[in-house]
Amino acid sequence: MPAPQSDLLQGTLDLLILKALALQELHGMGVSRRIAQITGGAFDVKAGSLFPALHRMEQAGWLKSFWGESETNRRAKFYSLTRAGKKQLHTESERWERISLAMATALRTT
Amino acid sequence: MISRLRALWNTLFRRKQIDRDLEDELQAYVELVSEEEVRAGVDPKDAHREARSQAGGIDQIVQNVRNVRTGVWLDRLAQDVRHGVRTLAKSPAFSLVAIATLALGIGANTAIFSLLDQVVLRLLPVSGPERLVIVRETGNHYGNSYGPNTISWPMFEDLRDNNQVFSGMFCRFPASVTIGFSDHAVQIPAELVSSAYFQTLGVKAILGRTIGQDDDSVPDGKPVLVLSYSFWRSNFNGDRNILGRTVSLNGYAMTVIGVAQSNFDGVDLGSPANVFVPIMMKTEMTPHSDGLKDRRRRLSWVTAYGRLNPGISMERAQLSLQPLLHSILAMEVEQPEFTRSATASDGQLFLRNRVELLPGSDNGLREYKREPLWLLLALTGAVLLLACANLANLLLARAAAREREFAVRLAIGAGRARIMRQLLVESLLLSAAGAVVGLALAFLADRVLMRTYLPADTAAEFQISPIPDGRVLAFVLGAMLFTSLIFGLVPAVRGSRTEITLSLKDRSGTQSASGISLRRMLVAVQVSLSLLLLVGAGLLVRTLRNLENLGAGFSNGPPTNIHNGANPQRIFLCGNQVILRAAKPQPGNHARRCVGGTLDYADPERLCMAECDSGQGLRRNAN
Repeated sequence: MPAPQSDLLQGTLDLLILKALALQELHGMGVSRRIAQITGGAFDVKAGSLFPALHRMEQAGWLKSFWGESETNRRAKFYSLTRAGKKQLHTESERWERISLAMATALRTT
Repeated sequence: MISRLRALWNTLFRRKQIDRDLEDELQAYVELVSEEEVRAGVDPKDAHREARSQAGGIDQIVQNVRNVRTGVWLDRLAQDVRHGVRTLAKSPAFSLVAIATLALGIGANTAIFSLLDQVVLRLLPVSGPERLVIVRETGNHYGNSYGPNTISWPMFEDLRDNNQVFSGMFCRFPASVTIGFSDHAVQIPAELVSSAYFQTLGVKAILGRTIGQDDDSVPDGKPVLVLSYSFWRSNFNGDRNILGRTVSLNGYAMTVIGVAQSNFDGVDLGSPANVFVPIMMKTEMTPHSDGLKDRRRRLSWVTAYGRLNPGISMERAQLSLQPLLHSILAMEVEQPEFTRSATASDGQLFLRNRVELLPGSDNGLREYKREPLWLLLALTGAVLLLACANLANLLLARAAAREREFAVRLAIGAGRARIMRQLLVESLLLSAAGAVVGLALAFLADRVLMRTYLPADTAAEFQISPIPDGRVLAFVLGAMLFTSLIFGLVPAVRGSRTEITLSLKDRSGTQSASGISLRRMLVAVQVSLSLLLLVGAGLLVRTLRNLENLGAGFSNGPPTNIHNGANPQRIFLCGNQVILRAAKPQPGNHARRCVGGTLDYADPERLCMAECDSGQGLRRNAN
């Protein structure tokens, strides 16, 4: 079974999902659209990566899910952050900022 | 953590529901996407198709989600096991043969290991048993001796007081004493122990106290005793008020001061003691001899034990004790007890005696059963290997026949690792079933082996039981994993290498050349192992026949009748050994043999009986 993504990318996807869910609970497609929105369309998360990630994060205890109604009155599964998820978002953001700062510094060095 | 456990629970036991849930979720996703498309102006018919294609294969997503579930491997394993059971059930003849083969192999090994463990490997149930040693003197012995590992009481005192290597030393003497109850008296095994016995062993009292320095300082001083736990439970019903009560031993009133911790029955694993008595009470406990008070230096009767100081190896301790022994011998060689009968050259030989340390858990049975038991284990090990080779061959043939099955599975997307795991799981299932049956076989085999192979009374005395304990179960588990790997690995690797295209074409009956050569090699291994076993077994049978023709080593003299109360008994004198038989078969006592006892040449009028398994002691003049 091939590894779905490298660790870096997986970490990025997790962080984006956590961030997308930080403001409000969303269903799967909502998460995808929200990520596209907040990244200015740079990331278009397909269902094939999105759902495994959502389920994995739910099993890790960062997300919880429930069935609700979409804005168009369709039954859909919604996700929201748990307390552990909020903590994870916090630590991951810090880590990401440290890394990106370091990367930026490294790349600027001539 | 808790969410993980819940996830694991869901993965394993609520699979159907969470799968349905996932399908609903993905369905909803597709609907939502197609709605969006419609809003963007796409034809509703096309929208749905578009949405599905955007999702990129629902089945694949489902599979990917499943792969990230907690405990997915356990789930897969359960699948493999279920599939394995079904596959094996489909060919019952093969499965039964395989299980029977393995049961024999594993059972034989377990049976022998169980005996080996209990007879040879078991250590005394005391604290730090590996630091405990028996101190004995080897070489030419002059004087009287009560056994191979004994030294005299004065020598024990000298060693105890002058050595630099032991943190503690004690000695013991096994004796058979008569305990009087209100209406009857029975002979029980006792251990006469010196004061440091319990302290050095680290054995505690579960009730009262153990024998201490004060109890064992003056000859005949303290008539006290400590009961063994099992004896206390069986003969005093575990009565906690036993402390302070007096019990009659050999007619002497002895006070019970404590009960030793459970599972401790003395330092001789071969003969458990029921009571522990200070060795200063020797005169009372063994009326026929008094080694304690006559202080003869060449009367060996106590077995000395020492606990090695931390950091001192057995070899170093032995070297360090040698000069001490030598100085003791140099003193003894000057004494009249020695010079009376020995020549000067005897003296020179005597001075070359050496001190030898043995592991503290050693005993007589261990010494002469060690090698035969290891040999038997090696033989049964060869049998197990043979069984493995046999099964590997069967499985290879089976794998060849199942190539189509593997090819189909590979073609619809199973990984090769998965196929290999499937085959290994099947092997494991076979050997697990074999192990269970083998355990039952081992239990039966041990009962037979104990009857025929061990000396008559050992099983009871030695507390050897055919019931497997934790160590035996661990052994079986190890044997099971080992065998399944040995016979399952090669067929599994081979099975997972199935060529899809070739196998899916109809080419039944053909086999790859390498497969055949591998199987030929296995046959060669089987034949050579069988030959080895056959030769070994042949030699063993020959030896047994020779032993049978050897005779008992003594001529059966005419029996002498003696009377022992209500129990008339016969004595056979063979050399200086005395064998007793009940003259008339008693109810429940059909000519049981009583062994032990020696005729004291110094005083032939007196017969010293050590033990008698009719439960009756014999302390009566014989002709």
